Amino acid sequence: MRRAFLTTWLRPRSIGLLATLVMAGSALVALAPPARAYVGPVSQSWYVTAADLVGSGGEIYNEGYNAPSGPQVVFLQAGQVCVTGGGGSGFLTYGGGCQPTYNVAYAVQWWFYGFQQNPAHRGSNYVVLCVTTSNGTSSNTTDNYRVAAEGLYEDLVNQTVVYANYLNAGSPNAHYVVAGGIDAETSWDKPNEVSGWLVGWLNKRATLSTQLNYGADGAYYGTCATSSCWNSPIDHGWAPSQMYAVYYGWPGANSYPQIYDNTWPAIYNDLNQAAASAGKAQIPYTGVMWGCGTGGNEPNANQAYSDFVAGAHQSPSYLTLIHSLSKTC
Amino acid sequence: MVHHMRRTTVSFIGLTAVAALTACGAHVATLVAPGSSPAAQATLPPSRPLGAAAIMPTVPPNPGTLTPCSQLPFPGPVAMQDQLHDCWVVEPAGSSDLSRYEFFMGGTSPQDRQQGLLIFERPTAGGSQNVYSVPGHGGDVTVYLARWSFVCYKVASGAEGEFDAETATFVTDQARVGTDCGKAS
Repeated sequence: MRRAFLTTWLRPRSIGLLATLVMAGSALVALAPPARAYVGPVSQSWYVTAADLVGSGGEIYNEGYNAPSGPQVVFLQAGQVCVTGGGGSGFLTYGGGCQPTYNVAYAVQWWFYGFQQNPAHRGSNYVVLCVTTSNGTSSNTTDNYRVAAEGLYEDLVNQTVVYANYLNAGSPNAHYVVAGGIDAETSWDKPNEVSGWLVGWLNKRATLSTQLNYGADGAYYGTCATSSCWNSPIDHGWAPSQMYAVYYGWPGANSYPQIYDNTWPAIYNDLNQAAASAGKAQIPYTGVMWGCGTGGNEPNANQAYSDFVAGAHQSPSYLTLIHSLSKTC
Repeated sequence: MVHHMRRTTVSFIGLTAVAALTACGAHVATLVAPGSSPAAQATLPPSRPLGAAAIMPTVPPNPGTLTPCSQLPFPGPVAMQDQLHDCWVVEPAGSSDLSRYEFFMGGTSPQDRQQGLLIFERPTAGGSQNVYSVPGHGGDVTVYLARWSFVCYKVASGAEGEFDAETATFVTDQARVGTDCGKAS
């Protein structure tokens, strides 16, 4: 199953392929009883702060060097969208104001370099790095989201992908893959804002020769499980169909629900039940994200995963732990 | 009701499908250092030193600023569950040390709304805990003043208090609370 999902990261997903994967995903979910315990490395995801950006790569290098071995997906979350003084795409960083997206695209290369420098990582297979936009404030414009996503995509292609391919052409410890990401949270972001980001991202994906996927590590709270609510704004103005599109409907989408509380997996089961009721394929959730130090009742990443399996009736291929800003947990 | 995003989704998936079908499938971009063989030499670090990345610190003039809670690096689902509000970011004025960033938020425990919560994080904090239960069981916590290394708050019952971010403890010395927080309350 892990291998099947990896293909979604590595191939541009045309509508035809999308349909194939939907069928395959649904069949796998239906036929195979989900495994409760996660098998594989728990990847370590991080917030990228302004201090990290000016730190000569040290902190981000260490995060790559100290990552576990094995196939994994890592989120490096750098801040919400902003537009720089010059009108360019930016991240509103933690501690450094609005920084151009190319600064972040440069900085995250050090994660790959750190991973590559650790001999224990040899044979890790596919390692995906999602350079992620944080949830928004509902005070940005849809156009700002679009500009930020377009700029991020271009900078990743022009900088980060080039370096990943340089490593991949040598004797890499892993096959390094660059992706984007968006922390789309219904309680913060409005649907039109996230749509702006996705339109910008997919604009570039459609016009550039390098096609990047993205990971959606957001959160959703809708509890309706029938088709009656499919297009109704039941969660902070979001309809289930809109969240479904972010998690799965758009080309290159991969889904990483945040699971910090043991009651939340049922929400993602409801979303799939609503989808089925509306005649849509189930979302084959790509992974689970758990964050430390948040006060949620899930004590650790592995427990969050097990509860997700029990509640959503799927065994996603990946599990990641996003550390706190302090990086001490 | 027309959902803007849904309408955009449909039209855009169509566009992308066309592009995907006509694309050449060139997934690999050009390599660094043309003419050299990466396999034949030590792996090179990223080409541009981060120190030259032209990052200009933009520290706000106010050392403690009331900020939209959604702007802080804390998971939104938990922020909603804890009913967090009055969120503050502290970045000392004039400082070019970008590691000096911290934030505070107030709210209540979802298990017991009489149990006030204070959230504190900074990049270089030593502790592993970010969520602190406010003493007194006085209900919802509102942060009304934040400065580097301490924060002043009120609870729903009316009591006021101070949290020392350096030691990650609640201040019990009322004289100190009065000095740090008194004039601002």
